[in-house]
Amino acid sequence: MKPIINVDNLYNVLEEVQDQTNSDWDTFTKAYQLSQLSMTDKNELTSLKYLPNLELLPHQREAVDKVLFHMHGRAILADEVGLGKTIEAGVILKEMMIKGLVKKVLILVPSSLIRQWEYEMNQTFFIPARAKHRSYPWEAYDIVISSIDLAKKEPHASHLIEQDYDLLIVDEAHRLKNAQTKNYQFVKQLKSTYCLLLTATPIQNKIDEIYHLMKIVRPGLLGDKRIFKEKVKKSHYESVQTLIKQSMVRSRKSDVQDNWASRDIQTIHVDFTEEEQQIYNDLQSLETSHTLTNITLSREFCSSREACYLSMKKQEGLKDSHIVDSIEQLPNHSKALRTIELIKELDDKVIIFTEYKSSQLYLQWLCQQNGISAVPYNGSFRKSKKQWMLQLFENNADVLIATDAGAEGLNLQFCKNMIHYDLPWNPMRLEQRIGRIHRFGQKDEVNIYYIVLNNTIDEEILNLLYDKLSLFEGVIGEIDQILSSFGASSFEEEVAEIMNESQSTKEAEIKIDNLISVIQSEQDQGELKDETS
Amino acid sequence: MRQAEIHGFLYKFFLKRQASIINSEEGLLTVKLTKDLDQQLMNRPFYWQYVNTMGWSGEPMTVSFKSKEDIDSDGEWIHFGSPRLQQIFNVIKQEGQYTTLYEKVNNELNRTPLYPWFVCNLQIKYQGWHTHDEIVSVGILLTNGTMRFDWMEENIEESFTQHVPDYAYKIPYIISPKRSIEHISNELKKRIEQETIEFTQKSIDLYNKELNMLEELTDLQNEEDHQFFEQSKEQIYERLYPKVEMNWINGGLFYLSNESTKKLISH
Repeated sequence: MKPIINVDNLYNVLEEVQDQTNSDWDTFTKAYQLSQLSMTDKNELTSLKYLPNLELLPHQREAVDKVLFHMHGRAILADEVGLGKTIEAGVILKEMMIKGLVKKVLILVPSSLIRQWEYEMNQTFFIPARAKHRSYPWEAYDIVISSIDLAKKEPHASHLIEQDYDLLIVDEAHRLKNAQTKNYQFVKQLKSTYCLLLTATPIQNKIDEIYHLMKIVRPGLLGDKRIFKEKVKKSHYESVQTLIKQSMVRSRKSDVQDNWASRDIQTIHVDFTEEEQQIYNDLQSLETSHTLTNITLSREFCSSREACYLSMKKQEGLKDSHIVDSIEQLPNHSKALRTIELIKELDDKVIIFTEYKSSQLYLQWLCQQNGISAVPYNGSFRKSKKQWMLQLFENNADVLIATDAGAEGLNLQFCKNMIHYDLPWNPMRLEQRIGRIHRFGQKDEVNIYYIVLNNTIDEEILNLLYDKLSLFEGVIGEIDQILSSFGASSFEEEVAEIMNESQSTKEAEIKIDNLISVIQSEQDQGELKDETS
Repeated sequence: MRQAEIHGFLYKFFLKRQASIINSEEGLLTVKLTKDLDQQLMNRPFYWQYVNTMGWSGEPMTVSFKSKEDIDSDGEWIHFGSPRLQQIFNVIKQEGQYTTLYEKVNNELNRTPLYPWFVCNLQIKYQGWHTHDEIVSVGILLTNGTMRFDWMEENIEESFTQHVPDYAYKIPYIISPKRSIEHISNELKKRIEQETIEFTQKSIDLYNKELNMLEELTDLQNEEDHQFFEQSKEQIYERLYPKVEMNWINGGLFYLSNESTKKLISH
């Protein structure tokens, strides 16, 4: 058995170099020594020499080593949110470039993350990656970043399928888990020698979904669908898990927690004014066509007058209610005022999360009235505007007022304070928010504030759900998946349902406890499977 | 290269290429480039194209480089791994690709013969079970075909000049550089095949294992399956089948005295 030895390069090069001017001895030896400097060794990372400002954390280093040296460059990176999958992918890409394995690279990411990837590749890794621009063809780029939504459309898709890529990176790859989708069909057709799929969604408990991702990364590893299904049916979980581990790297926050800045959580209680409380009580007894409306309106009113007012105005039968008039009469909102006080007390950069755009506007106006510089951030902003807002927040402003939509994936570790102006009803969303500042790179203790109105649905949720948050540790991110296997739509809707149907707080508490224990038992089984494999 | 060495390195680089050094203090270097350097380093082809079309001489840029942290001055931050330094390395590698050099000899009594060597410095890339590079330096005596490995390491302390020294003359070569490259690559092929038995075996095992897995477990039902199957086979071959590639670093003709030649051969 012989390796393929390619010497063609040598004969061609001699013709070329002989025509060059003769170099002097000094330049000749320097050129030789510089080539020695860039030599790579087996099973050793060379790229770190080129990245003096980058410090890899142990779990990241381990992931990079595994992907490069054991998985031979095709893998699923499935670390939990905030553990630095992008960093790992960057180092792997850099290493492959230095080793000369990779020249043409396609990076597919959600469109909201294109700029961030471009920035990170260039600034952190000195990798000349460019976002796809419409005036240049795909072939013109060596390393190109694009959204999968653009890439899968014609005429782009056909062009891309024609290309021979050396490396394909797909961020948020759980978007590919469904084999019926266009996303999946498209990515499967792309030709690439090496391949990295990044996802924070822990797919390994949903064995069916990982099958399709694995088919892209290592076709054949899990066999064809029929054989695979039989294996799973016979509950050969261990053997399947062992196979999966051959091509998947996953670190959990709980495994690497030691290195984390601690987080301090404080709840600030606020009372409604008498007028506000009156309106709130009226909302409870309001006759509406759908019972869930009361809950929605109460939540909105706990956030701002504007949020509640606008949605009542939109609904036939509600828009002429006397409550609308009373809301109009209110001078301000107690929770918002308390929030402004808190911002002043903090005297430091702070991120405020709210669920409603109208509350976002109101808070921004209120900040401005109080001489606090605040910038908004929401999902409907254009890419450039988002970027601009983040820059303003980092360099000039004190406050960023964000809605959940559009905030995923942001790195804001330069800020250490976060106010949850509205409490999300889904603990997963809460974790997503906190993950913006409580991630690797955060040097300081992180301060988290819940602002809660007494005697309202705010307080109920706080008592029913938030006190049990510690129970969710580790399970965060999997909740909706676990629930969907029981036919429930989402955690949030499930909670709203419970709040609505329950006659008493006691009843709601029991139901929520049941919900949580379902999730927990699923989680325990998942962990058991993990350990046995 | 350590960070502290970069300043000196840059200084010598620019001085040697006739840039004017405007300011040089610890960790901060300001130079006015020459037209050549500007074209090689500053990435502004349109400017130079424009200037040349208009028949103007053009104005090379003045640039500052910082190689020490906490220097309170404008300048480009240079460190190992920064694209600029890589660019400068590439200029040197490009310039140093080929040469013809003569050993410095001082023998005024006799006319000294200089023997021709062809030297090849090559990067050998292994890819398969693992990937790594190796550098080999081989010299071949062009009068009789004797091959000497580690040629650069043996001669790196010597001095060579670009002109035939006084009282010295060249012995003409019998084997041409082109032929000698054939000799060298054949010899290297033989050595690589012998020395990489384990690497080759492991790579091929891995390749076969992956391929078998694919073949056994793929259910080929339609055109699409076939296409995906072929595509996967190719991908597995690219990644895992043992491959060795030889790339040119630099080389050229070296004329050495009888003594030096003997010393090299006798080892």
